[in-house]
Amino acid sequence: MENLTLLNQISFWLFAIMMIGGALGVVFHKSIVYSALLLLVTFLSIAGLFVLLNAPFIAAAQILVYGVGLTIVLIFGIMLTGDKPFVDPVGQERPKRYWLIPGVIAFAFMGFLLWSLLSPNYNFTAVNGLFLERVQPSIAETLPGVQAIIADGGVTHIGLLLFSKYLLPFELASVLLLLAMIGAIILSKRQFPEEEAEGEPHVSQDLDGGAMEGKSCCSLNEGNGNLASENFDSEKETLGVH
Amino acid sequence: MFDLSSLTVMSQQNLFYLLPEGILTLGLLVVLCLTIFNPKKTSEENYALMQVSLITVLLALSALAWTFLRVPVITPQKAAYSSITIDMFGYLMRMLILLGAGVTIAISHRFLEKNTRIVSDFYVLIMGASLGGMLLASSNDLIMVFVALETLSITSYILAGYFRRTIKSAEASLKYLIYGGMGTAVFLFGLSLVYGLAGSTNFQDIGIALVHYHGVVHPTLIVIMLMIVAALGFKLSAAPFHMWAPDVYEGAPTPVSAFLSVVSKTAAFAITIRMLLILFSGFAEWAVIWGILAVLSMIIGNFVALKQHNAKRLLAYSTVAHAGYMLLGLVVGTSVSVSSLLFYLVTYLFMNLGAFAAVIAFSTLTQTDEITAFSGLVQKRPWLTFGFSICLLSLTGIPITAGFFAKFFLFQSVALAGPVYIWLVIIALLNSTISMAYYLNIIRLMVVKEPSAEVEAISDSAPTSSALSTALSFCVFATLLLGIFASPFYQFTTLSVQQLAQQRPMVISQAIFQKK
Repeated sequence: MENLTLLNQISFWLFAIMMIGGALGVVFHKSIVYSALLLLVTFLSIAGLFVLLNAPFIAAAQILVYGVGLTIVLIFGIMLTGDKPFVDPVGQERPKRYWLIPGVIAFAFMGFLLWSLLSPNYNFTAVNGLFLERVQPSIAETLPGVQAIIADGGVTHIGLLLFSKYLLPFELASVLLLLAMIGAIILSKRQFPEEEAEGEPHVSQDLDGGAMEGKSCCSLNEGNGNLASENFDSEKETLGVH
Repeated sequence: MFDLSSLTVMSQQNLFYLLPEGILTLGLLVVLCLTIFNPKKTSEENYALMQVSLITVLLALSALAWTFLRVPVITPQKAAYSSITIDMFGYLMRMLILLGAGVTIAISHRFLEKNTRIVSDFYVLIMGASLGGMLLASSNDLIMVFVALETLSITSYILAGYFRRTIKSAEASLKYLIYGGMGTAVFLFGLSLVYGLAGSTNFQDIGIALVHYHGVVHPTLIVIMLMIVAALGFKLSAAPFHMWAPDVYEGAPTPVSAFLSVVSKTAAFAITIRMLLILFSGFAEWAVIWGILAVLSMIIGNFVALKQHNAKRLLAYSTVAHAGYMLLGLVVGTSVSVSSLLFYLVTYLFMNLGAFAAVIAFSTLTQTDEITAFSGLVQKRPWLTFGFSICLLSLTGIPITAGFFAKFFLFQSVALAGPVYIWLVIIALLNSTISMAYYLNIIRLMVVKEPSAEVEAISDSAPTSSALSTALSFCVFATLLLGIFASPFYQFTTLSVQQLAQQRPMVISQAIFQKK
């Protein structure tokens, strides 16, 4: 970090404080909508940190995928979940010091992690650099090849890596996305053509348009506009049992 | 730095070895297209789609055999820019995963027909999950590991919730998703620390880089170990990371439970063994962590299984216990014990799939999975009782079944490794004795007791699915065959482990051989 300019340092602390503050807000804010928006703050601050680490492409990807895509889906999810304000889902039954044990464990783990990362013989190369393998970052940034990578934000380099070294994982990711899409359709579609004729036979208790469908698909089905609120109630009922 | 011409020269990348995966992907797309373009399928068309899926898996299996015989793997080969290793260990694991997928497809047809109208997407998802598992089993790169693991996991979450209108299935899916998402996050965090420590995602490079840390108890390595053990322990359903298993196995459609307990676990063991033997071969700390996990899994799995009333739940706890036995092989970590572990994995595949197939056959006949309902089954379905009993005996570890030799080889290798490990063997033997109580109880109910109301209600003309009975017979036959001719398979596993040992960074492999 020694070669950061003053501006860089100020930005780093600004982003870091925003990120941690946002993350704390996500956990502690009572309204889930505010939590979702604070999550956006966290994501954007992480993107800022990526910029400071000479990785503008990853920063852009971070904004596109997390900042825009994920947050919007999250807010849509909240909007579709029900018309009631979604405040403190556990309600009054939650014990007062529910956060104590997980909090202690989390902080102990964080302390251990920090201690381990700051241990003397830890090698920081890959964390600071951009796909730099086993080179000290201070030396690395002076290398001509690396400067070329930094100059175009690493896009060329990442592109070449995706289509050479990481070609197979890249291709597998496309199959993964296809399967995830099929799965999303199976889990959320209101009625399949197969089911139209006789209706679905049941093994045990029936959701009857409960949790899965109600949550994710009520805007997509035809002629069932008022399902959202009904489903919300039946969902609470069914989930309360288990 | 980068040679663009290398992109065009695919033949240099040994993609020939990935023919089985290619066939599986292609078959997956074919079944998907047939499903999409013919939305209102009749029962016969669904059956035909099942056959197409089964043929795809069999073709992939024969492609696997063909590549294996065509280019014998004398030394481990790298494929696809060394993100994949081709070795005998990988071949063995991929074969097991494909066999598991094939049997799952065969046993699921009648069950799905009876319980849902959306049948054919199931096969697509099973093939996708197997694809992920196969690539996971032979991956040689952290990114490959992660993407393959995700392919396997995400399809598993979907499969667990496949009966979307059944509340228990939805619950299983959600639970699995939440636990699994947590496990994935922890795993990814651990892998990122590995990358930070070693500066590379390639297994060989990491192995060499980590040589510097041998003998040093570095705190980061301990964090890494804890994270990776937690994530892989989750996948292996080893206690204390087994919490999801009973609920998911009970709630998910039974073929999915079979698939998860066998294929998912095989793939997870494959990557665990590979990472342990190649990446982290010089670190003894693992043994302690795995030892704790093994003992906990055996004890929790067996004792809780004693109290179960539902056959699927019982099998869930029994898989936890078996994960515990198998982890013993990792605790010792000698080449003999790891090859015994592999042999155990082979037999476990058949006996557990057989047991699940029998439960599926029974629940299609009676619509229940309660253990008491199995009473007197022998009077109505003697062959089903016979098959189920053989699988249960094998799971117990009774001689002439494969389970006996699997346990025998494994416990012997652990006991011979040193006096420290004797205690582990004693615990394992005690646990096997306990497991006898609940396995043999089912056999006693089926054979000795008077028929239950559910069994009485089975009509003699109730159809049995030919695919299901073939799959069950295949599993029973394999269980008996492995019990009688254990040694050729055992030799194969020994060779696989030898090839794994060849891939260690040189410095370490010498040290290990000296230790032995």
